[in-house]
Amino acid sequence: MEYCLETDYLIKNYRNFRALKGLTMHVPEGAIYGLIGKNGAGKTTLIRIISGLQNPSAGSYSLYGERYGTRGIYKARARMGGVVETPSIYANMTAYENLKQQFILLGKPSFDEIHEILKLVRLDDTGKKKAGHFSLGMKQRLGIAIALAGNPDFIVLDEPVNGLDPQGIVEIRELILKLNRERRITFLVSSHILGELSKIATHYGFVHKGEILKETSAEELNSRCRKCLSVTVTNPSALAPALDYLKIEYRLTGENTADIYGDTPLMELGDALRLHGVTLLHATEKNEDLESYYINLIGGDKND
Amino acid sequence: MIKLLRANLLRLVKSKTFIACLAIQAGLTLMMTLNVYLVNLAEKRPVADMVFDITACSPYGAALLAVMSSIFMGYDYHNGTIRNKLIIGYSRYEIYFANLITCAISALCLNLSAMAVFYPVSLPLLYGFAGEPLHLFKIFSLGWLIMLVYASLYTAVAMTTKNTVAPLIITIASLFVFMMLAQYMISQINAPLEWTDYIYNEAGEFVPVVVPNPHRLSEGVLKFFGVCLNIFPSGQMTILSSEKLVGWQSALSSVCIIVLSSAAGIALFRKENIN
Repeated sequence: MEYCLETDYLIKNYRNFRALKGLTMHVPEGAIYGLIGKNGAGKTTLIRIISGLQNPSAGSYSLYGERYGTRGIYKARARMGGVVETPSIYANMTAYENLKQQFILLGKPSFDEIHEILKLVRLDDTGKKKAGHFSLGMKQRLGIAIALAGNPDFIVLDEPVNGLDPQGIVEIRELILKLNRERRITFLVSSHILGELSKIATHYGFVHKGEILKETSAEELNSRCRKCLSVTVTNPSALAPALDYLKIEYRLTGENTADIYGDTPLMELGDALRLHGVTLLHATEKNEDLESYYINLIGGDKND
Repeated sequence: MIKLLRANLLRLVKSKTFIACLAIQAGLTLMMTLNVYLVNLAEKRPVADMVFDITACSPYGAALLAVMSSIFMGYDYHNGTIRNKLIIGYSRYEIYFANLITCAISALCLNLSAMAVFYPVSLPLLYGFAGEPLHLFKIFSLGWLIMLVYASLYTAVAMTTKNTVAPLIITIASLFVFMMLAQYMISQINAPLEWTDYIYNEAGEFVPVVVPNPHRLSEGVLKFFGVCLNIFPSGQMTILSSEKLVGWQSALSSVCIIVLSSAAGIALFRKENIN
């Protein structure tokens, strides 16, 4: 798998406080990588470091194979865009002027593309209105438009839906999905709103106290979080053939354990397995959602 | 860096603060001209030199440059737009130098704004120059160099304090303090060696006698003050048109201050954590 971002045991100290404690993560190309963690977990610190706003105290990272500290990292960053914390916009300029500034910074020869980008983020009708008078959602979209100015392959968004109203949240979500699907842009999106991330993310990284506890794909996480029956049996070698024969969807989780999906009643399942020489010893219903998965992962309660 | 500079200059020319500062500088030159004209009205001597000093370098110009640079660079931190530059791959050196050059260009624009009033209005109204062309050229060059020193100092302060208000307060306050200090030094240097005291003589008459000035500082201290005035920009500005200014000493110290303040500014900015 090709990774656009890899971090290698990143450490960041602020005087006596260690914000990152050896964080290692991998963002695959083309993914929407959801970075999940509580406030103060280290999400923004990580994003600041990979955006070049801060230097790591120890450890390293690479963007498109270019390692931090080499000259190549500056070239690799040219393939990147981002909105860190608040949208970085000139409040006394219009949306068009803000994008023009970014186009000049990028050395683009023409400004023709500005209208297309403004249309994409639905800010093409703002005219001479100064960005300082925009709503939070509009500012967020303008921030994304500025990030898009350099036709990036990788965009970093730090808490993009924070403070937005429901419509604003939907708009940002749709924009991310559209850009990922149509332009194949890789996204790293940090959030503590799990429900929102679960609607777009293809991969997850769970951050807690400056470390990545777990990296997983949405596919793997969905299967883990699906409603299922966790069973323990006597004859493990016969279990898989039996379930295949019965055309029941399952996942082997151990030597004599499996998760069985679908709505097969327990009694019927027990009878069917017995016919194939498998005795059901134990069965538990599992129904874990992303939130409870995360809470279990960090080993604390919601209010911790 | 050219792209950064281009973006900076586009922002600068659209800045209301920049336009206002240029207008104030031009207005101050005009006011100074009218003031000198009214004082000189009876004698009608060529006295444009005094206003010329102000077009080359003045505390007003330095204060206006402090306002402009603090607001211009501080705005990038205030809005977070400095992040847009770093994220797309500009190095901190490039960002710093682009801002330094922008600040130097702002200083040049302030001089040009003063000149735009001086040459068509002040020069004919004040009956031309009294000084030699070489002396005037020296004032102009050193004045411009002093403004460059201020540009480099203000850039270092603005790039390391990371907001708009703090650099504004720091630069204006230090400009004021150093100008006062320079004025104190020049007044001590110019203090008379002797003065007239009045005493009663043996006949009981109250008579004037010339005595050494008891408040005059020692020669060593006054020499030190002289060197300080030639080394630091506030001092240079105070003695710009006088014979106390040692040209090579001022030019050398200006170049040294520009190099040192920029090196210190970059070293600090490189380590800054930007939020």
